[in-house]
Amino acid sequence: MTKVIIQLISAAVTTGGFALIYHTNRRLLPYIVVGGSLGWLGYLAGFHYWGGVFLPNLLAGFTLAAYAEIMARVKTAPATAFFLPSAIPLVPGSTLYYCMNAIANSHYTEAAQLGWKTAMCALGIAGGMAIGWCLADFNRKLHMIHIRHEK
Amino acid sequence: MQEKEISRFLRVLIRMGGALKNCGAEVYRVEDTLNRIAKAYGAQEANVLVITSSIVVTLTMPENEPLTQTLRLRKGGSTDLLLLEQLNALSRKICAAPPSVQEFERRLDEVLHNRPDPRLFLLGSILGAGASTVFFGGTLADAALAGCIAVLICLMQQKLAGFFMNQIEFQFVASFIGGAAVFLMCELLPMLHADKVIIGDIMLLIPGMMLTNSISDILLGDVISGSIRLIEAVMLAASLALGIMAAIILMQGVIF
Repeated sequence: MTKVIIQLISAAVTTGGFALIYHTNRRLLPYIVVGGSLGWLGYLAGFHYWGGVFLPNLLAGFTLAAYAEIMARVKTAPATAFFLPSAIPLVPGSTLYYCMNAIANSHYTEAAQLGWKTAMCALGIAGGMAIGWCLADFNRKLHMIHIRHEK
Repeated sequence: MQEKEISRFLRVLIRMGGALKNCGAEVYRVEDTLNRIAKAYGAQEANVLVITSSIVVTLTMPENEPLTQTLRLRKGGSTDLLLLEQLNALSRKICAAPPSVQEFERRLDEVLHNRPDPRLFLLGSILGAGASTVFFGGTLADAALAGCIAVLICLMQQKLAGFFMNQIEFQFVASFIGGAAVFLMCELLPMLHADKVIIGDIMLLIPGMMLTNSISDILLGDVISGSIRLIEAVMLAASLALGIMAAIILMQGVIF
Protein backbone atom coordinates (compact mmCIF):
# COMPACT_ATOMS: atom_id res chain seq x y z
CA MET A 1 0.00 0.00 0.00
CA THR A 2 2.84 2.39 0.95
CA LYS A 3 4.42 1.65 -2.42
CA VAL A 4 1.21 2.60 -4.22
CA ILE A 5 0.93 5.87 -2.27
CA ILE A 6 4.58 6.74 -3.04
CA GLN A 7 3.93 5.98 -6.72
CA LEU A 8 0.80 8.12 -6.82
CA ILE A 9 2.54 11.07 -5.16
CA SER A 10 5.68 10.80 -7.30
CA ALA A 11 3.49 10.46 -10.44
CA ALA A 12 1.78 13.71 -9.43
CA VAL A 13 5.12 15.51 -8.87
CA THR A 14 6.52 14.17 -12.16
CA THR A 15 3.44 15.48 -13.94
CA GLY A 16 3.84 18.86 -12.21
CA GLY A 17 7.50 19.02 -13.29
CA PHE A 18 6.62 18.31 -16.90
CA ALA A 19 3.77 20.81 -16.77
CA LEU A 20 6.45 23.42 -15.92
CA ILE A 21 8.72 22.17 -18.75
CA TYR A 22 5.81 22.47 -21.21
CA HIS A 23 5.05 25.96 -19.83
CA THR A 24 1.46 25.21 -18.84
CA ASN A 25 -0.86 27.86 -17.49
CA ARG A 26 -0.46 27.90 -13.69
CA ARG A 27 -4.23 28.19 -13.30
CA LEU A 28 -4.50 24.61 -14.63
CA LEU A 29 -1.58 23.15 -12.66
CA PRO A 30 -3.60 21.57 -9.78
CA TYR A 31 -5.92 19.76 -12.21
CA ILE A 32 -3.00 18.52 -14.33
CA VAL A 33 -1.22 17.14 -11.24
CA VAL A 34 -4.40 15.25 -10.27
CA GLY A 35 -4.49 13.87 -13.83
CA GLY A 36 -1.00 12.40 -13.38
CA SER A 37 -2.12 10.37 -10.36
CA LEU A 38 -5.42 9.46 -11.99
CA GLY A 39 -3.70 7.94 -15.03
CA TRP A 40 -1.50 5.79 -12.81
CA LEU A 41 -4.54 4.79 -10.74
CA GLY A 42 -6.17 3.65 -14.00
CA TYR A 43 -3.07 1.58 -14.78
CA LEU A 44 -3.05 0.01 -11.30
CA ALA A 45 -6.77 -0.83 -11.51
CA GLY A 46 -6.24 -2.42 -14.94
CA PHE A 47 -3.25 -4.37 -13.66
CA HIS A 48 -5.28 -5.60 -10.70
CA TYR A 49 -8.12 -6.90 -12.90
CA TRP A 50 -6.33 -8.16 -16.00
CA GLY A 51 -2.58 -8.21 -15.30
CA GLY A 52 -0.17 -7.99 -18.24
CA VAL A 53 0.87 -4.79 -20.00
CA PHE A 54 -1.48 -3.91 -22.84
CA LEU A 55 -4.89 -3.74 -21.12
CA PRO A 56 -3.73 -1.74 -18.04
CA ASN A 57 -2.12 0.84 -20.33
CA LEU A 58 -5.24 0.91 -22.48
CA LEU A 59 -7.36 1.69 -19.42
CA ALA A 60 -4.85 4.33 -18.24
CA GLY A 61 -4.77 6.02 -21.66
CA PHE A 62 -8.57 6.01 -21.81
CA THR A 63 -8.92 7.41 -18.28
CA LEU A 64 -6.54 10.26 -19.10
CA ALA A 65 -8.18 11.09 -22.44
CA ALA A 66 -11.62 11.17 -20.80
CA TYR A 67 -10.32 13.29 -17.90
CA ALA A 68 -8.59 15.72 -20.29
CA GLU A 69 -11.72 16.13 -22.43
CA ILE A 70 -13.93 16.75 -19.39
CA MET A 71 -11.47 19.21 -17.79
CA ALA A 72 -11.00 21.01 -21.11
CA ARG A 73 -14.71 21.75 -21.16
CA VAL A 74 -14.94 22.67 -17.47
CA LYS A 75 -11.89 24.97 -17.54
CA THR A 76 -12.20 26.12 -21.20
CA ALA A 77 -8.63 25.21 -22.14
CA PRO A 78 -7.25 22.87 -24.83
CA ALA A 79 -7.47 19.18 -23.86
CA THR A 80 -3.81 18.80 -24.89
CA ALA A 81 -2.76 20.98 -21.93
CA PHE A 82 -4.22 18.39 -19.55
CA PHE A 83 -3.31 15.30 -21.48
CA LEU A 84 0.38 15.77 -22.37
CA PRO A 85 1.91 16.30 -18.90
CA SER A 86 -0.45 13.78 -17.26
CA ALA A 87 0.59 11.03 -19.67
CA ILE A 88 4.30 11.28 -18.77
CA PRO A 89 4.26 8.77 -15.84
CA LEU A 90 2.83 6.18 -18.25
CA VAL A 91 5.80 6.50 -20.66
CA PRO A 92 7.61 3.12 -20.48
CA GLY A 93 11.02 4.61 -19.63
CA SER A 94 12.00 1.82 -17.29
CA THR A 95 11.34 -1.11 -19.67
CA LEU A 96 13.14 0.82 -22.42
CA TYR A 97 16.20 1.22 -20.18
CA TYR A 98 16.30 -2.46 -19.13
CA CYS A 99 15.89 -3.41 -22.80
CA MET A 100 18.96 -1.28 -23.72
CA ASN A 101 20.86 -2.74 -20.79
CA ALA A 102 20.08 -6.27 -21.98
CA ILE A 103 21.28 -5.45 -25.52
CA ALA A 104 24.51 -3.90 -24.18
CA ASN A 105 25.12 -7.09 -22.16
CA SER A 106 24.29 -9.38 -25.14
CA HIS A 107 21.18 -10.87 -23.49
CA TYR A 108 19.17 -10.83 -26.69
CA THR A 109 16.20 -13.00 -25.67
CA GLU A 110 15.56 -10.78 -22.65
CA ALA A 111 16.05 -7.67 -24.81
CA ALA A 112 13.48 -8.89 -27.34
CA GLN A 113 10.96 -9.56 -24.56
CA LEU A 114 11.51 -6.12 -23.00
CA GLY A 115 11.38 -4.41 -26.41
CA TRP A 116 8.05 -6.13 -27.09
CA LYS A 117 6.78 -5.02 -23.68
CA THR A 118 7.78 -1.38 -24.41
CA ALA A 119 5.95 -1.49 -27.74
CA MET A 120 2.84 -3.00 -26.10
CA CYS A 121 2.86 -0.20 -23.48
CA ALA A 122 3.00 2.49 -26.18
CA LEU A 123 0.31 0.76 -28.23
CA GLY A 124 -1.91 0.38 -25.15
CA ILE A 125 -1.70 4.08 -24.23
CA ALA A 126 -2.32 5.12 -27.85
CA GLY A 127 -5.30 2.76 -28.13
CA GLY A 128 -6.84 4.03 -24.90
CA MET A 129 -6.39 7.64 -25.99
CA ALA A 130 -7.97 6.86 -29.35
CA ILE A 131 -11.08 5.34 -27.73
CA GLY A 132 -11.37 8.37 -25.42
CA TRP A 133 -11.09 10.84 -28.32
CA CYS A 134 -13.58 8.95 -30.47
CA LEU A 135 -16.16 9.04 -27.67
CA ALA A 136 -15.48 12.76 -27.04
CA ASP A 137 -15.87 13.51 -30.77
CA PHE A 138 -19.09 11.49 -30.91
CA ASN A 139 -20.42 13.37 -27.90
CA ARG A 140 -19.52 16.72 -29.55
CA LYS A 141 -21.42 15.77 -32.71
CA LEU A 142 -24.47 14.65 -30.71
CA HIS A 143 -24.35 18.00 -28.92
CA MET A 144 -24.27 19.87 -32.26
CA ILE A 145 -27.32 17.93 -33.50
CA HIS A 146 -29.08 18.74 -30.22
CA ILE A 147 -28.33 22.48 -30.66
CA ARG A 148 -29.61 22.40 -34.25
CA HIS A 149 -32.84 20.73 -33.12
CA GLU A 150 -33.42 23.34 -30.46
CA LYS A 151 -33.13 26.11 -33.05
CA MET B 1 -9.79 44.52 -48.87
CA GLN B 2 -7.15 45.69 -51.37
CA GLU B 3 -4.70 43.15 -52.78
CA LYS B 4 -1.88 44.60 -50.68
CA GLU B 5 -3.91 44.25 -47.52
CA ILE B 6 -4.97 40.70 -48.40
CA SER B 7 -1.31 39.82 -48.79
CA ARG B 8 -0.55 41.30 -45.39
CA PHE B 9 -3.48 39.46 -43.83
CA LEU B 10 -2.23 36.21 -45.37
CA ARG B 11 1.22 36.85 -43.90
CA VAL B 12 -0.20 37.37 -40.39
CA LEU B 13 -2.48 34.35 -40.77
CA ILE B 14 0.35 32.06 -41.81
CA ARG B 15 2.58 33.35 -39.00
CA MET B 16 -0.19 32.48 -36.55
CA GLY B 17 -0.32 28.98 -38.07
CA GLY B 18 3.45 28.58 -37.70
CA ALA B 19 3.33 29.72 -34.06
CA LEU B 20 0.49 27.30 -33.31
CA LYS B 21 2.33 24.40 -34.94
CA ASN B 22 5.59 25.17 -33.14
CA CYS B 23 4.06 25.38 -29.69
CA GLY B 24 2.63 21.88 -29.99
CA ALA B 25 -0.82 22.10 -31.61
CA GLU B 26 -2.11 19.18 -33.68
CA VAL B 27 -2.29 19.67 -37.47
CA TYR B 28 -6.08 19.49 -37.33
CA ARG B 29 -6.23 22.36 -34.84
CA VAL B 30 -3.91 24.58 -36.92
CA GLU B 31 -5.88 24.03 -40.13
CA ASP B 32 -9.21 24.53 -38.36
CA THR B 33 -8.07 27.77 -36.66
CA LEU B 34 -6.69 29.31 -39.89
CA ASN B 35 -9.87 28.35 -41.79
CA ARG B 36 -12.10 29.92 -39.16
CA ILE B 37 -10.13 33.19 -39.06
CA ALA B 38 -10.10 33.41 -42.87
CA LYS B 39 -13.91 32.88 -42.95
CA ALA B 40 -14.36 35.52 -40.23
CA TYR B 41 -12.55 38.05 -42.47
CA GLY B 42 -14.97 37.23 -45.29
CA ALA B 43 -12.90 34.84 -47.39
CA GLN B 44 -14.91 33.08 -50.11
CA GLU B 45 -12.58 30.15 -49.98
CA ALA B 46 -9.60 29.24 -47.81
CA ASN B 47 -7.42 26.23 -48.51
CA VAL B 48 -4.99 25.49 -45.73
CA LEU B 49 -2.48 22.67 -45.87
CA VAL B 50 -0.26 22.04 -42.88
CA ILE B 51 2.38 19.37 -42.81
CA THR B 52 5.13 19.02 -40.22
CA SER B 53 7.62 21.15 -42.14
CA SER B 54 5.49 23.65 -44.05
CA ILE B 55 2.23 25.57 -44.23
CA VAL B 56 0.49 26.55 -47.48
CA VAL B 57 -2.53 28.87 -47.50
CA THR B 58 -4.51 29.87 -50.58
CA LEU B 59 -7.07 32.57 -49.94
CA THR B 60 -9.83 33.84 -52.24
CA MET B 61 -11.34 37.13 -51.14
CA PRO B 62 -14.50 38.51 -52.84
CA GLU B 63 -13.72 40.30 -56.17
CA ASN B 64 -10.05 39.31 -56.00
CA GLU B 65 -7.80 36.68 -57.53
CA PRO B 66 -6.72 33.83 -55.24
CA LEU B 67 -3.47 34.50 -53.36
CA THR B 68 -1.09 31.85 -52.02
CA GLN B 69 1.67 32.08 -49.44
CA THR B 70 3.82 29.39 -47.88
CA LEU B 71 5.83 29.17 -44.68
CA ARG B 72 8.67 26.69 -44.26
CA LEU B 73 8.95 25.41 -40.71
CA ARG B 74 12.63 24.65 -40.33
CA LYS B 75 12.71 23.40 -36.79
CA GLY B 76 10.05 22.40 -34.31
CA GLY B 77 9.80 24.84 -31.43
CA SER B 78 9.62 23.73 -27.83
CA THR B 79 6.20 22.77 -26.49
CA ASP B 80 4.55 25.80 -24.93
CA LEU B 81 1.05 24.99 -23.72
CA LEU B 82 0.43 28.48 -22.33
CA LEU B 83 1.16 30.01 -25.74
CA LEU B 84 -1.17 27.41 -27.29
CA GLU B 85 -3.94 28.48 -24.92
CA GLN B 86 -3.32 32.18 -25.60
CA LEU B 87 -3.31 31.67 -29.38
CA ASN B 88 -6.60 29.78 -29.08
CA ALA B 89 -8.11 32.59 -27.04
CA LEU B 90 -6.85 35.14 -29.60
CA SER B 91 -8.39 33.17 -32.45
CA ARG B 92 -11.74 32.95 -30.65
CA LYS B 93 -11.77 36.71 -30.02
CA ILE B 94 -10.79 37.51 -33.59
CA CYS B 95 -13.45 35.21 -35.04
CA ALA B 96 -16.11 36.81 -32.82
CA ALA B 97 -15.23 40.38 -33.88
CA PRO B 98 -12.55 40.65 -36.59
CA PRO B 99 -10.36 43.75 -36.00
CA SER B 100 -8.29 45.49 -38.71
CA VAL B 101 -5.32 43.50 -40.10
CA GLN B 102 -2.89 45.85 -38.30
CA GLU B 103 -4.67 45.25 -35.01
CA PHE B 104 -4.63 41.46 -35.61
CA GLU B 105 -0.87 41.64 -36.26
CA ARG B 106 -0.29 43.75 -33.16
CA ARG B 107 -2.21 41.34 -30.95
CA LEU B 108 -0.37 38.34 -32.41
CA ASP B 109 3.00 40.03 -31.78
CA GLU B 110 1.90 40.78 -28.24
CA VAL B 111 1.08 37.10 -27.57
CA LEU B 112 4.29 35.87 -29.22
CA HIS B 113 6.36 38.35 -27.23
CA ASN B 114 5.83 36.48 -23.93
CA ARG B 115 8.65 33.95 -23.74
CA PRO B 116 8.69 31.24 -21.06
CA ASP B 117 11.03 31.74 -18.12
CA PRO B 118 14.07 29.39 -18.49
CA ARG B 119 14.21 29.03 -14.69
CA LEU B 120 10.78 27.35 -14.74
CA PHE B 121 12.08 24.92 -17.38
CA LEU B 122 15.04 24.12 -15.13
CA LEU B 123 12.84 23.68 -12.06
CA GLY B 124 10.46 21.46 -14.04
CA SER B 125 13.35 19.30 -15.29
CA ILE B 126 14.73 18.82 -11.76
CA LEU B 127 11.28 17.98 -10.35
CA GLY B 128 10.37 15.75 -13.29
CA ALA B 129 13.61 13.73 -13.25
CA GLY B 130 13.76 13.45 -9.45
CA ALA B 131 10.12 12.43 -9.03
CA SER B 132 10.22 9.87 -11.85
CA THR B 133 13.31 8.31 -10.24
CA VAL B 134 11.27 7.78 -7.07
CA PHE B 135 8.29 6.67 -9.18
CA PHE B 136 10.34 3.87 -10.77
CA GLY B 137 11.59 2.66 -7.38
CA GLY B 138 14.64 4.84 -6.61
CA THR B 139 15.51 6.27 -3.19
CA LEU B 140 15.53 9.97 -2.27
CA ALA B 141 19.34 10.03 -2.71
CA ASP B 142 18.85 8.65 -6.24
CA ALA B 143 16.30 11.40 -6.86
CA ALA B 144 18.81 14.05 -5.72
CA LEU B 145 21.42 12.78 -8.18
CA ALA B 146 18.79 12.58 -10.94
CA GLY B 147 17.99 16.24 -10.18
CA CYS B 148 21.68 17.22 -10.55
CA ILE B 149 21.97 15.33 -13.86
CA ALA B 150 18.74 17.04 -14.96
CA VAL B 151 20.54 20.39 -14.52
CA LEU B 152 23.34 19.09 -16.76
CA ILE B 153 20.83 17.91 -19.40
CA CYS B 154 19.03 21.26 -19.21
CA LEU B 155 22.29 23.16 -19.71
CA MET B 156 23.09 20.98 -22.72
CA GLN B 157 19.61 21.58 -24.15
CA GLN B 158 19.98 25.34 -23.79
CA LYS B 159 23.65 25.89 -24.63
CA LEU B 160 24.75 22.95 -26.77
CA ALA B 161 21.74 22.03 -28.92
CA GLY B 162 22.58 24.68 -31.54
CA PHE B 163 26.00 23.19 -32.28
CA PHE B 164 24.67 19.88 -33.55
CA MET B 165 23.63 18.97 -37.05
CA ASN B 166 20.17 17.87 -35.90
CA GLN B 167 18.09 16.82 -32.92
CA ILE B 168 18.98 13.14 -33.39
CA GLU B 169 22.71 13.80 -33.05
CA PHE B 170 22.13 16.03 -30.02
CA GLN B 171 19.95 13.36 -28.41
CA PHE B 172 22.74 10.78 -28.80
CA VAL B 173 25.41 13.05 -27.29
CA ALA B 174 23.16 14.30 -24.46
CA SER B 175 22.08 10.81 -23.42
CA PHE B 176 25.68 9.54 -23.66
CA ILE B 177 27.08 12.36 -21.48
CA GLY B 178 24.13 12.11 -19.05
CA GLY B 179 24.46 8.32 -18.80
CA ALA B 180 28.27 8.42 -18.36
CA ALA B 181 27.95 11.09 -15.64
CA VAL B 182 25.42 8.94 -13.75
CA PHE B 183 27.65 5.84 -13.92
CA LEU B 184 30.68 7.81 -12.72
CA MET B 185 28.79 9.32 -9.79
CA CYS B 186 27.35 5.93 -8.84
CA GLU B 187 30.85 4.44 -8.92
CA LEU B 188 31.99 7.13 -6.46
CA LEU B 189 28.87 6.78 -4.27
CA PRO B 190 28.03 3.05 -4.24
CA MET B 191 24.79 3.42 -2.28
CA LEU B 192 23.14 5.00 -5.35
CA HIS B 193 21.28 2.92 -7.97
CA ALA B 194 22.53 3.86 -11.43
CA ASP B 195 19.63 2.20 -13.26
CA LYS B 196 16.92 4.14 -11.37
CA VAL B 197 18.76 7.47 -11.79
CA ILE B 198 19.18 6.94 -15.54
CA ILE B 199 15.51 5.95 -15.93
CA GLY B 200 14.51 9.19 -14.19
CA ASP B 201 16.73 11.29 -16.44
CA ILE B 202 15.74 9.44 -19.62
CA MET B 203 12.21 10.75 -19.08
CA LEU B 204 13.50 14.26 -19.90
CA LEU B 205 14.82 13.13 -23.27
CA ILE B 206 12.22 10.55 -24.37
CA PRO B 207 10.13 12.05 -27.21
CA GLY B 208 6.94 10.99 -25.42
CA MET B 209 5.00 14.06 -26.35
CA MET B 210 6.04 13.89 -30.00
CA LEU B 211 4.88 10.27 -30.09
CA THR B 212 1.52 11.16 -28.53
CA ASN B 213 0.99 14.05 -30.94
CA SER B 214 1.98 11.95 -33.96
CA ILE B 215 -0.54 9.26 -33.01
CA SER B 216 -3.25 11.85 -32.47
CA ASP B 217 -2.46 13.41 -35.89
CA ILE B 218 -2.81 10.01 -37.57
CA LEU B 219 -6.06 9.25 -35.74
CA LEU B 220 -7.52 12.63 -36.74
CA GLY B 221 -6.80 11.86 -40.39
CA ASP B 222 -3.54 13.81 -40.96
CA VAL B 223 -1.60 10.72 -41.90
CA ILE B 224 1.31 12.46 -43.71
CA SER B 225 2.22 14.79 -40.83
CA GLY B 226 1.60 12.06 -38.27
CA SER B 227 3.87 9.59 -40.08
CA ILE B 228 6.68 12.15 -40.43
CA ARG B 229 6.50 12.89 -36.71
CA LEU B 230 6.18 9.22 -35.78
CA ILE B 231 9.36 8.38 -37.72
CA GLU B 232 11.11 11.36 -36.11
CA ALA B 233 10.04 10.22 -32.63
CA VAL B 234 11.19 6.63 -33.26
CA MET B 235 14.56 7.91 -34.56
CA LEU B 236 14.95 10.12 -31.47
CA ALA B 237 14.10 7.21 -29.16
CA ALA B 238 16.60 5.01 -31.04
CA SER B 239 19.41 7.58 -30.76
CA LEU B 240 18.60 8.00 -27.06
CA ALA B 241 18.86 4.22 -26.65
CA LEU B 242 22.17 4.14 -28.55
CA GLY B 243 23.59 6.97 -26.42
CA ILE B 244 22.72 5.19 -23.17
CA MET B 245 24.03 1.88 -24.51
CA ALA B 246 27.29 3.55 -25.51
CA ALA B 247 27.59 4.91 -21.96
CA ILE B 248 26.94 1.45 -20.47
CA ILE B 249 29.50 -0.24 -22.74
CA LEU B 250 32.13 2.47 -22.15
CA MET B 251 31.70 2.32 -18.39
CA GLN B 252 31.88 -1.48 -18.41
CA GLY B 253 35.26 -1.13 -20.14
CA VAL B 254 36.55 1.64 -17.86
CA ILE B 255 35.23 0.75 -14.43
CA PHE B 256 34.25 -2.88 -14.13
